[in-house]
Amino acid sequence: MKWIRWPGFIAFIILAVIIAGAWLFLMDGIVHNRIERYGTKAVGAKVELDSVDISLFPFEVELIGLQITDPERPMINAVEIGLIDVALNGPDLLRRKIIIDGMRIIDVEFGTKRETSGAILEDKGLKKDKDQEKDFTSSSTSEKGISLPSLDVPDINDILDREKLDTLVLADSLEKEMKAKEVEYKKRLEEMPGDKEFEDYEKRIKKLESTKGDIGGIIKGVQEADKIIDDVENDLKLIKDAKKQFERDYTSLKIRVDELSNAPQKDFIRLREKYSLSSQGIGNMSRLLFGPKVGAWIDKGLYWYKKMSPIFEKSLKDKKAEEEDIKPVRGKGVNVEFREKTPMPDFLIRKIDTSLKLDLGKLWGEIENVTPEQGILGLPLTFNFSGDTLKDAESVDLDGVIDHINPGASVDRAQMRLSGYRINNTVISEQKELPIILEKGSLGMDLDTVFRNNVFDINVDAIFNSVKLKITPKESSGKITRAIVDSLSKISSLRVNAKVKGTFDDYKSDISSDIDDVMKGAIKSLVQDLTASFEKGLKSAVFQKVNGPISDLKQDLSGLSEINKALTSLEKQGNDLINGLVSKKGSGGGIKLPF
Amino acid sequence: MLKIILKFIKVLNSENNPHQISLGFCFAMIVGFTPIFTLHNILLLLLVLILRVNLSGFILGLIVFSGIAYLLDPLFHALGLFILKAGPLEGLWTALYNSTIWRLENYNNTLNMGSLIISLILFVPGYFLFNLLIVNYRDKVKGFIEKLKIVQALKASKVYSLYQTLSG
Repeated sequence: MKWIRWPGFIAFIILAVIIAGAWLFLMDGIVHNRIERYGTKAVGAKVELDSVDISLFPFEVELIGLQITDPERPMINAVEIGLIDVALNGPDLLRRKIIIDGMRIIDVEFGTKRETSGAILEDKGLKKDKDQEKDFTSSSTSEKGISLPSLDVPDINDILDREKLDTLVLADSLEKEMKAKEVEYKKRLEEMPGDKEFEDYEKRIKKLESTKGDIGGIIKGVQEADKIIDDVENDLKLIKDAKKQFERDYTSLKIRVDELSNAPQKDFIRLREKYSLSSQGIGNMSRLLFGPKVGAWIDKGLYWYKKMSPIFEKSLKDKKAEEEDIKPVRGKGVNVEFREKTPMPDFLIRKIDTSLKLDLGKLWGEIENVTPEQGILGLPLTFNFSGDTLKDAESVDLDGVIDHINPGASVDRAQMRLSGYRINNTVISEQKELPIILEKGSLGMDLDTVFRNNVFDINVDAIFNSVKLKITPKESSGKITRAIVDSLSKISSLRVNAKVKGTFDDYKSDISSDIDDVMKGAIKSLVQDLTASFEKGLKSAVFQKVNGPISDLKQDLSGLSEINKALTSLEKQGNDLINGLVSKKGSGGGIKLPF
Repeated sequence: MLKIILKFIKVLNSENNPHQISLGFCFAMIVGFTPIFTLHNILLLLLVLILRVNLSGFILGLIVFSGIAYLLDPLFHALGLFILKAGPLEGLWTALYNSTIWRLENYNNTLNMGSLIISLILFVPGYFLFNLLIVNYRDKVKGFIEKLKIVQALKASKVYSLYQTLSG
């Protein structure tokens, strides 16, 4: 046939062979390059691979010597993996699904040293993510920044020098008021009618008595008598008003002086509550000692969990976004999904066999059903790790489930059992007042964590056996600190329990341990004696300081009563005069009528 | 050995009938418009080599239509999305989605679908149009072009003499 060109068929075969050969020859290098390039971009620091080996029959990929740099510590690898061996399912690959039936990840190590720096030039996007991560990592927990309460009895003189006593303030105010009143009433006394005025009245009365005469003179005499009575009554009214007002003021001042007697007791109670050694402070020692460390571990755990968890929801969001009217990348388009007869995730690793190299030894583990599309698979991710021939521990078991099959009701659990973990020279407390180092000990720990829709519940039970603590307090430490050091030094076993509940942004922790009971038992009576002695001394010092001003006030009050006496005397003089006048006028004594 | 290779290439480039050139352009349109690494493009490449299609025209057309495709990407995507989301066709697409060969073809990609549909629609009219243009070019324009000094200079170059040798 004229339309067929048979050499073209040969050309096609040759071309296919060349392409296949190039693919086989170059594929290892391409995959190597892609992993390093895209891995570096994703992590934000260098991802390096020693070699890649791809075989077609069976379809397997082998990655050797993978190093993932810690973005925050460029000379340290976050993860280093000796070997990754992946067997891929060919037909599923043709259907654009990466389904891995089995995977081996061997010799995983964390925090290994690098020979060269793994830092890369940052772009704005990466830097922003880093800042966000740093913000999260450095967000303060409720456990940071708590300092130990004072473990020594404070100096009473220092307290009284520092603190303002309300008693003295009130006394000072009262004294000023009393002095002002004294001046006021003394001035009024001077202005009031006194002995001279009453003598004048007596003279006028005597003059009136000696007057004899006709009726006109008698009438004039009566009028004069009335006038004298009016004058005396007016003066008497002034005196009485002043006396009434004085009595009111005096009573008020007296009441306040009496009330002032209670003020020293109130001052003492206030200072006692502020400065006395709090039993609650001693009782919360576990929280103060272990809190910062527990807080740091929780922060780190939550940071990694928050970083990992979006992976299980990312894919669903991506798919929805792709199908919506979002501008696709040029030359790429968008893949529209349809219903599958046997739905499978786009990416799934059915089983990973792995080994981890940790400080305490080697752990072997299995992880099953790794996929970001658990809703399609219908199975949660499960993991379990164990080790029983460990360098620094008897055994460790870690297992858990990450269940995001229903994103609205996700439940993630993890449990760990650690026994016989040998600890050496570990800092327990970094508090300056009471630094504690666990020189040696054996740790057994049970950890249970549950994350349910971003609310978590963590319970840790740790038992330290064969414990030797090293405590180096300051040389100037007081009796209580020394007593605490003595009791802690005798501890040979210790139990710590920590419960943490809440959300990522708002959680509460409750930490308790044997240390609380040990401290209470050992120093209880000492604290009681010291507290009683302190309170007695404080009370005595407060009352001693305020007694002088209170006595002075009482004396000033007595001084004011003299004014009352003067006013009373004047009142009596006035009343006697009035009464005498009225009686003489009534009996007609001294005034003789002509008939 | 070199003579055998040259002879082989000559054979492949010997088709210069207007129909053969037009067919080359039409196949190039499909390959140029659609994403390059697809199953249908492998088949088209086989067709281009087996059928007596002008290879030079195919390569030239591929370059031109790839450039045009970059500009028409949004149109291809919109059309592809419309077709793939069409309700009446959902059953068909679902059946194809569960077939390995069609998944390999990546038919459910909007760009692939849209560009393939448009290039298939334009294939037949394109064939006749290119044919007409080539015939008219040869009758009316070619003589004028060959007289241009730049064309004469190009013809005198080594590149052209190599092309002449290969195209027979």
